Amino acid sequence: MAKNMRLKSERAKWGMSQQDLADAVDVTRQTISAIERGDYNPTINLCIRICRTLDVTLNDLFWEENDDEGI
Amino acid sequence: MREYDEYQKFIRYKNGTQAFLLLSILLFLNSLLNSLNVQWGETYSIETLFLLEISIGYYVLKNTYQGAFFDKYENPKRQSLYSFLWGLIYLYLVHSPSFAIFIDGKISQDFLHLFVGIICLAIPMVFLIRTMVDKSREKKREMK
Repeated sequence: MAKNMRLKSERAKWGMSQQDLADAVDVTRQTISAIERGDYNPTINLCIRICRTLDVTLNDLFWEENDDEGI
Repeated sequence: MREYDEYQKFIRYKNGTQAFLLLSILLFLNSLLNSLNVQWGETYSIETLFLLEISIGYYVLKNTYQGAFFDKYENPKRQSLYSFLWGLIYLYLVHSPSFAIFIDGKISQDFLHLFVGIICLAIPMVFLIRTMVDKSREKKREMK
């Protein structure tokens, strides 16, 4: 799985650490770290909570750009 | 009731499966040894319990290392300290003269207590190692 650099950059825009974001969406810091490293695909519910906290859309954070072909 | 987040549950399920497979393999190997009349525990039950402790120890320590042992609302440092104290108590009890770890060259029930004490002491050590690894990775990421 590819790293989720967009999540990391959006988090940094808000000046949030991984722990801050984890507390905001009610998960552990390791979960946010695993998502950013690309080691874990979060459920849709967690994706939505993260997007609401960072005030972005699901497309902004979790859509893989190279999957546009053929859709 | 402990509350684990979805990633922790995912890790725990994966480690649980691995621990179950480990236990199955160990029990199978032990049954082969038993068929050759090789006995390394005072009784067969003690052998089985020790193998169970190995797989539980694997499960607990791997979860601790991967951040899936302590739930979201626990204080890992405090829980690690409790685990360390329990480990010391177990080792103190095993150290007393009335306890015999080996009987006729075979592991006894007291050896099982010793092993539990070792696992309790290992939990805070594994947690400390993981914390240091995370801090080191964090520094490397910030430098990039």
